[in-house]
Amino acid sequence: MSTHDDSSGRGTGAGAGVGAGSGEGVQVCGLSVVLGRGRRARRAVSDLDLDLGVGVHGLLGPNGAGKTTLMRVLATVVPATHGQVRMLGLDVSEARERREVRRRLGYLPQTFGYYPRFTVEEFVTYFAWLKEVSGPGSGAAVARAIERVGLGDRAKDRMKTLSGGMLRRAGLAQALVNEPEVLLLDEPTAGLDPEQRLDFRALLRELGVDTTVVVSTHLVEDVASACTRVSVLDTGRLVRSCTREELANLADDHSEPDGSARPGHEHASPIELGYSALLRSHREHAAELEEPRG
Amino acid sequence: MTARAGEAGTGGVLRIELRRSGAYLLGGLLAVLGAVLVVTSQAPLDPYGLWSSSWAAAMRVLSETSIVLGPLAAAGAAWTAGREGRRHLGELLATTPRPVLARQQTTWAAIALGVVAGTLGVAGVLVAGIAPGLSYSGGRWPLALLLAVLGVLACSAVGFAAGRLIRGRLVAPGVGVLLYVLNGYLGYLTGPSARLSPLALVSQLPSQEGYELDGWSAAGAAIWLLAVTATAVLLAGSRRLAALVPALLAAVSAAALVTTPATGDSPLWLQPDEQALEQVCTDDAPQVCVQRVHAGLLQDVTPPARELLARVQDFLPVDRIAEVPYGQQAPPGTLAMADLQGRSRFLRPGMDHPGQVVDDTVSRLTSYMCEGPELDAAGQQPYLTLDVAHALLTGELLLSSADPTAVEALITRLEEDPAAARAWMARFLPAAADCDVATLVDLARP
Repeated sequence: MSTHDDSSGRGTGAGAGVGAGSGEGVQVCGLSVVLGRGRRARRAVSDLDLDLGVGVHGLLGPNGAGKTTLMRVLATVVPATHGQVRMLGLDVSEARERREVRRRLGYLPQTFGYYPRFTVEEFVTYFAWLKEVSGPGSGAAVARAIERVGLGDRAKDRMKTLSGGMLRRAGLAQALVNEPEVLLLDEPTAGLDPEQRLDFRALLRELGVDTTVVVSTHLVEDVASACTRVSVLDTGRLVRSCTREELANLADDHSEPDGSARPGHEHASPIELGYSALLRSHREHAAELEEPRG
Repeated sequence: MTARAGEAGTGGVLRIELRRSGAYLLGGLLAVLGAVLVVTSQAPLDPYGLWSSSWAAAMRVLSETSIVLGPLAAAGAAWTAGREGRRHLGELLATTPRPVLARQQTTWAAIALGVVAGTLGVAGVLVAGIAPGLSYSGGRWPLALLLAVLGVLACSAVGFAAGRLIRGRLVAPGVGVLLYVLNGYLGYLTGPSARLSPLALVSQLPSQEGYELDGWSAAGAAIWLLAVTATAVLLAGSRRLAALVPALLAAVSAAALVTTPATGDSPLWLQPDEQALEQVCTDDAPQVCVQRVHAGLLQDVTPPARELLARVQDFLPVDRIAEVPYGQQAPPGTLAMADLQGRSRFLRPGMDHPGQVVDDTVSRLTSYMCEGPELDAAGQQPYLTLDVAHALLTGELLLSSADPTAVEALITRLEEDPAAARAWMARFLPAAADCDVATLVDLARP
């Protein structure tokens, strides 16, 4: 079984870079992002294509793979150096269209900042206003978002009194308050206890019914239980985009020639093994391409 | 289910900002600190800081106090504006569609409401202090109140922009100290460079009883302060191009302010207010007159003034006593009474020490500020005459000179011989006025 479609990120097999694309979700074409300037310039994302429709999409990859940079581009925080990003059928490089995208976007960054003196309700209300959710229904939208993340009984509490997991949920509430059509969650389960993670994954599945949800994570369990499709990144490039079942099937490539598990990997899940096999194959392939140049 | 959350309209968010941005705290801090400053600048806590009974005095104190209020407002606003950076919210906020300007304006509006309420609180203490003794409400002094509030507001806007544009926890105290130094420096400029003093955002307001604010200067100052405020708020809202418009207006109004000449001999920004200086007199004789701005003190000052007039009439051809601005000559037949500015009670009508007016009036009549080698050679001798003159005019012994025995002897001799006393005083007054040291030395001999 092939574990690698195209090291350039323009995959050709098993729907590489393309997953349940609706034309209204997220379309990324030839995206490159260079961070920093001059000698400090670093290419964080290279020539990436993605097409994500309604559903829960996992972005997997090791540290430094470019997941967070890609999320920040999709969140319209970082501009593309090259390539095009369209969301909900709109070009985010155009100011007017970007603003419309932002109205319909929810984002929970990896580092979630908050105003400690605000109550949960005030914080979510503030973001509802920033997202231009206004009018008679805005109060109900705030209450619904808070209720959805299970913080209904803590709505009047100051943010500074919440635990790490509750803060994460408050962060998710602000992301949900505008009923987003695209929801971007960067390491959303960090800081959650096991029970909260289970609830959170259930919420993700619920949201994925009618929303394009992109979850960046290094926790393969999140992908296994909540994501319908997975895109694996490494060194800023898309390694492969596929269903979680397809990723699990790659586990065979990670076993010893006799079919047994590698030492120390006996208790790994099929998705974890498939993910490791995919990365290993990608890196070997990349090294082969590098050798002739060397 | 949680209780229904508030609507996410601008009004609702403004209320949230009022509660959570520190606006209430800042307003309260300004009001309390300002009130403490203005009360402690008033007798009896500060015997030299008398400010009650007139708008001009109250506005002078408000302007002086704003040199502390302005930088404090700036520091508070800078701290609030820097919260996005401190709390790592920049990335999340950058993904929201509402323009940065709208977000920053709403936060600043909350701060501004706190700052205005706090400054008006201080003004309220001042107005309460002057109200019982207030006799004259002309002179456009409410404009001075408006300018003082705008000045503190402009400071808060500058601080807000600094806090928003410059990262770091030291920005808030830094901008406060910087504005304090800058405003103080501009306020204390002397000579030709003093023309730059109107550019201070606070503490630049002149105020003097008998004058009123020049309307054009006040309008120019208001435009200057509003333009600075608008520029700062637009910069905080990431609207650099749009900020050029108020910045240009600020530059034009600044140029107008520093080049506008004063009216005649009036201090900058002021013009004479004849109505405030009109004489208000007793109906019965001997007539005692005060300026309209001090009409509330006439009843209290009349008995000691008449008592003084009766004694002075032994030496001078006067039949009335009237308040005359310092440096001006009294009309013939009138004894010039000392200025009543700042002599009324705090929070109550009337004055506490009307007798002090008598002492000051006599001092004004008899004291002299002479210099030169002739006076140096004469030593302390001429100054004995001051105590003698004071005793003859008031009946009270000061004995402040270096040789009290000689003074007492001279006084005793003159009191025993009224004709000699009149002759002595007839020589003393012109000698004191003309710094005729030889005559003063001669008059000091027992």
